[in-house]
Amino acid sequence: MNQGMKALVLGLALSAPLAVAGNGTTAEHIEAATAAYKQLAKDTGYQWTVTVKAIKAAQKALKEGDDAGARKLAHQAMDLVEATRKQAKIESETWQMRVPK
Amino acid sequence: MKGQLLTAILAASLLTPVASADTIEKGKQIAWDRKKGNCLTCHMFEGGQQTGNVGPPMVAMKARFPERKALVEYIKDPTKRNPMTAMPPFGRNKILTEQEINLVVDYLYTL
Amino acid sequence: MKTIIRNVAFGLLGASVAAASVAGPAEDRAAFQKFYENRFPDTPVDDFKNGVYSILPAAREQWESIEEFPPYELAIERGEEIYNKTFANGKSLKDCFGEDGAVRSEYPHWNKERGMVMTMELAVNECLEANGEKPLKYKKGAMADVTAYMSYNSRGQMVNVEIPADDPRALAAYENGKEHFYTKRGQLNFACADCHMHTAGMMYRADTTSPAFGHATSWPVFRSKWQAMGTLHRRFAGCHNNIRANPYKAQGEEYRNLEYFVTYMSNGLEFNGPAARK
Repeated sequence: MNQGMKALVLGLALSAPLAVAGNGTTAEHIEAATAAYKQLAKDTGYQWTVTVKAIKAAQKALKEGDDAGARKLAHQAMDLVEATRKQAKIESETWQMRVPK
Repeated sequence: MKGQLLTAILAASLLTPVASADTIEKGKQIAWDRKKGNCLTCHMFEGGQQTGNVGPPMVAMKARFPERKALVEYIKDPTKRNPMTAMPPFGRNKILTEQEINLVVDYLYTL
Repeated sequence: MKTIIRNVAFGLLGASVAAASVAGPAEDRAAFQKFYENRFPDTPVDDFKNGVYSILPAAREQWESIEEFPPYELAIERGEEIYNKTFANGKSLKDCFGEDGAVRSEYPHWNKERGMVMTMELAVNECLEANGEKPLKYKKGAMADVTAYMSYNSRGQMVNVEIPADDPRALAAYENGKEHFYTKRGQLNFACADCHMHTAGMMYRADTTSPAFGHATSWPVFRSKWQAMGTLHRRFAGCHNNIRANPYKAQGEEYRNLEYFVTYMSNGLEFNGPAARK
């Protein structure tokens, strides 16, 4: 888990600049969100259905030529990955509270 | 005196978003929508069918949350105040947008 | 009097300190079961195997009448055929699990050689594949049927999962399942424990959530909502979908460890599958 978290931080550090900056093609933004999703799932086991849906919708929009829509969805997916990461962190610190003593 | 009152009203209207019949209705739709707030799963709402009882009934919301900001923050992330709660953090987990949460609050304050 | 109180207080303190210092699976299980006994004082302990009906007298009568002509009866019959069918190599499932397949209480268990939790479904598929047969899908269909037959023949066996102390990997698998049970997941932010422990018995819309004590005893089940049979891992995946968490692979490590934990928590109850559920 600790090692996982370290890898996670590293993974985000690598993928974040691409998504935060307006640079790169929309396809690259979708790819970055997909990579971040997979890395987080691998490191923490936390994975949301809505993120996958957003990524798939982005891919579809791009295919249909809606570049702006696709980009927006890719960023949405990245935001969801961020929220998932936050959840994983909060839970790693609080889950013991739910265990009956 | 009159001028002061006017200033006070003006200031208040600038600080808090104005609830209208329109925003209240929109807020109700979001709260009741199973794919959005889906609040009836856990809370009793007047006029709602098959409402759950995991959370408290949605009544007297002004008395329970006199401060609008506190209610908005609670809906955004109730685990901050109560880590044991089963209520989803609608803001933190991006289930609803900031704007949607504010519409829901407009509606909740009519209950 | 004062001395007595002081002694009692000291005794309690001593006990809680001792529990904290050696807290392991056995202590977890005692606290877990106690939680449900306190929350549902009207439910006899051995009745938790009946899921939500153990705490819902209003729905119990209708459920009992359903169990008189059980909707899983055909599944048991189909399962019996699969169980007795001769493989291409002349063998059958009997060669792996005995004449009637009454092996329910042997699973889940820790397999030390392989360093993993073995489940009954996994064992069925490994038997099939070892004999050159095609494996079955894990969530429904033939797998649910054949395990319904095996569970039916195992009725009355007691849940008695062991976490062997001589293999730290077994404890790690248990801890992994435990953490999964108590951590909030999915966009809707629910832990198994939120619905099936801390708000167990309350109503989400018209549905009362079942206690997790007894969750693992009755599989596979015929679920009215599915209008079909399904395995425990099918239900795990369904729950995860409901909370907008991407389900894990049926019979993958995550779900096997979760099964290991929840079944261990039900030690002392009776296996009573297959069953009918809402």
